[in-house]
Amino acid sequence: MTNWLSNETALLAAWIVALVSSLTVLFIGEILGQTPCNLCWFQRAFMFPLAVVLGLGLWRQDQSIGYYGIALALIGGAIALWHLGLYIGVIPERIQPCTATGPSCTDENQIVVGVPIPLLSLLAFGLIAALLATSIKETST
Amino acid sequence: MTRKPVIVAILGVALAVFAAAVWYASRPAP
Repeated sequence: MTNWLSNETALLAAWIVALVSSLTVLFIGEILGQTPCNLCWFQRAFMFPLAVVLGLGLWRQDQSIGYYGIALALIGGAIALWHLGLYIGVIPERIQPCTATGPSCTDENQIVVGVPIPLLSLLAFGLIAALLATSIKETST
Repeated sequence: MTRKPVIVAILGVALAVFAAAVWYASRPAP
């Protein structure tokens, strides 16, 4: 890895992605009134703590926060990948954890500004994981 | 290491944009 992206800049960028993602899903869910589906809730459960712990890691100048953050990002990314598989039809719908009474995981409500929410989620978690991996890699060298 | 004012500034801008978006989305219809 070249030095065009320092470890602190990578950590800062990862925090910004997590912060923007968290505020955006809060806006979509709570202000625009689009009730999150079950899988969306699981992804929220991993994105919200990222915005908090990465911010605290930056504040306390703790580079090792990348190790904790990357675990959250990879698990959240795995859920987003599963959600995206359901959305595009690769994974059969009968195993999706969305009940008939709750909001659907796969209908047209899952599109924001023309982009599916699971895809946005996967991109955000993937970007955070890559940035945190960069910060860890540079710390250990 | 990132200076704390930078962190506070980014957090402030993000929350300000969020508050503005909430105000815009919840304004009464004309």
